[in-house]
Amino acid sequence: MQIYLPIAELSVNAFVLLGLGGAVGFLSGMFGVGGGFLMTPLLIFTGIPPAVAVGTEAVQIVATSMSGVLAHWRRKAVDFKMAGVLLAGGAIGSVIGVLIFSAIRSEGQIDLFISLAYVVFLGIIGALMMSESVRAIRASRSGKTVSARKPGTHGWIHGLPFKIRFRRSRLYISAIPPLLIGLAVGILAAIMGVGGGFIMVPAMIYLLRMPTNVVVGTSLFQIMFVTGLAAIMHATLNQTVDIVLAMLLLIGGVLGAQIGVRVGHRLRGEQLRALLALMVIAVCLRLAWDLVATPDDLFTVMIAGGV
Amino acid sequence: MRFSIPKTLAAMLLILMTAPVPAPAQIIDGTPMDGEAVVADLSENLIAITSNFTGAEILLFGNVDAPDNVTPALQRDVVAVVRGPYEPLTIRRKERIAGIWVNTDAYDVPAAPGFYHVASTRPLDEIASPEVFANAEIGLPALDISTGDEANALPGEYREAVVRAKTNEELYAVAPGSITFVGPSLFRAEIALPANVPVGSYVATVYLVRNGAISSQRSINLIINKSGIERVLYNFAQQTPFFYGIASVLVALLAGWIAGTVFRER
Repeated sequence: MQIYLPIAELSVNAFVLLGLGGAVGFLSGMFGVGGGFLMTPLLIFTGIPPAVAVGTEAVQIVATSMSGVLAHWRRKAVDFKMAGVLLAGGAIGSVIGVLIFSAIRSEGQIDLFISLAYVVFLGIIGALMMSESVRAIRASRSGKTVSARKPGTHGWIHGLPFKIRFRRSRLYISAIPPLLIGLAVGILAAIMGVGGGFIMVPAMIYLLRMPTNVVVGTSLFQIMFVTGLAAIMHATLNQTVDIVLAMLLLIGGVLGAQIGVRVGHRLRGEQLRALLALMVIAVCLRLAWDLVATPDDLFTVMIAGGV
Repeated sequence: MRFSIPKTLAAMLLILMTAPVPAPAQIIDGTPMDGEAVVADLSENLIAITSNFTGAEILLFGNVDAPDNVTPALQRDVVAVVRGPYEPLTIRRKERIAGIWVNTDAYDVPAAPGFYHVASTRPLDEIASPEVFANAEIGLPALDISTGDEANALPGEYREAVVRAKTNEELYAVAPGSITFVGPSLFRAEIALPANVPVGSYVATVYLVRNGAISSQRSINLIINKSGIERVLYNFAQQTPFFYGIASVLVALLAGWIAGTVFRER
């Protein structure tokens, strides 16, 4: 069934979009990532203009995060205080990110910049997660239990001022690291058209040493607000939010996320992390290949000032 | 083939018989004509883009008004050009730098047609010389795609890139033989509009070419516009983008909340 998208100004198969939304929503619920790092490239592959893909994806992430947050909320797996601190940084970061985005876009290098950013960040995070989870799986097979969280470890983070007690995360740390993580993720979210969960989740586990069970709910909660802000900015500045496209994606997405949350709770933490690491590395390699491989056409023709 | 020779012979005889009689001057469409004129119209003058729009096909039809009833249709050609709304373009070229492909050079074209379709009875080079078509901007080689700046002219390969990209999107097309004569003076052509056709004003111009020169032409306007819910959403997004953004986020939150509540775990 073909459907015409009023803002993207093209006709696409509605079932393809529903299926895409469902598949990405499933992963989103399972891993607590927004799914934007998969959805944005997939939308561009189906012929949606990149700017519309980025703007619309923000709206869709709001919806999938909302349904995910509800499930984690009931399980009391959201640290609202931590989310608030992350969000404060995220709001500032996303504004900075949008300004950087438009500056690079006017130079005609935004596609390259987005791809490079993806390759670098996905590469680093994928490799780190993979080596960590492989080590954890090996350790558990040999009979030992290794937790990602090492309670009582006092690193440089504990020497920083403005300490806040995060009761739900059972942490007493400075507000500066989560604020900076929020800021960095906000910048990346605005530039790369993603929620930023794939960076925030590992950062919360490995840098803040938050317990894994509250990480997903907390990151979803923060993502919901930062992408909501980004969606409003994209709609206002670029008119690149296609609500019909977003609705199709989120119908598939919310259903997929519900299933994903359930499946995710049956899998063990280290297996979950290994799976996510594999996916991150796969997307990274694909994007890296596109940067190096000779394009079909060396020329690109764009409607100036349009999408 | 068997019938073509007697037919042509008969036609030639008729021409010989009627040639000495001068045709009376006619005034059609405000243009004085000493021979024949072309009249044409489109099956639709307004195309509405709705949610199930997957492209459209419009019928262009017309009549060659002959000075007499015996001038054969075979010796005249009809060329139709549909031009879509003009839009500014940016063309960029990639080069390999340190192993990766990077946009290096860029040219801006202030106005290029968003849609350009040439239909004709025969291939253009069989109808008239390139100069005739160049003057009237008929055919892809004659299409004006330029920077509008003599000192910084658009290189040929950039121009080719525009034509290639637009042809791939089915927005530029050349369809020789797509205009067919139905009977001695009535002609028709189907013009395909793809789903990604830009909205705006279009002009279809029909040219009558006789003996290698354009002897008559006629223009018809066509409007392509969004309609229904698509139009409402598009205008909402364009006119009050901030509120459209807020509305989109609220819709997303509501949808997520509904899903989260409906699929609540028991």
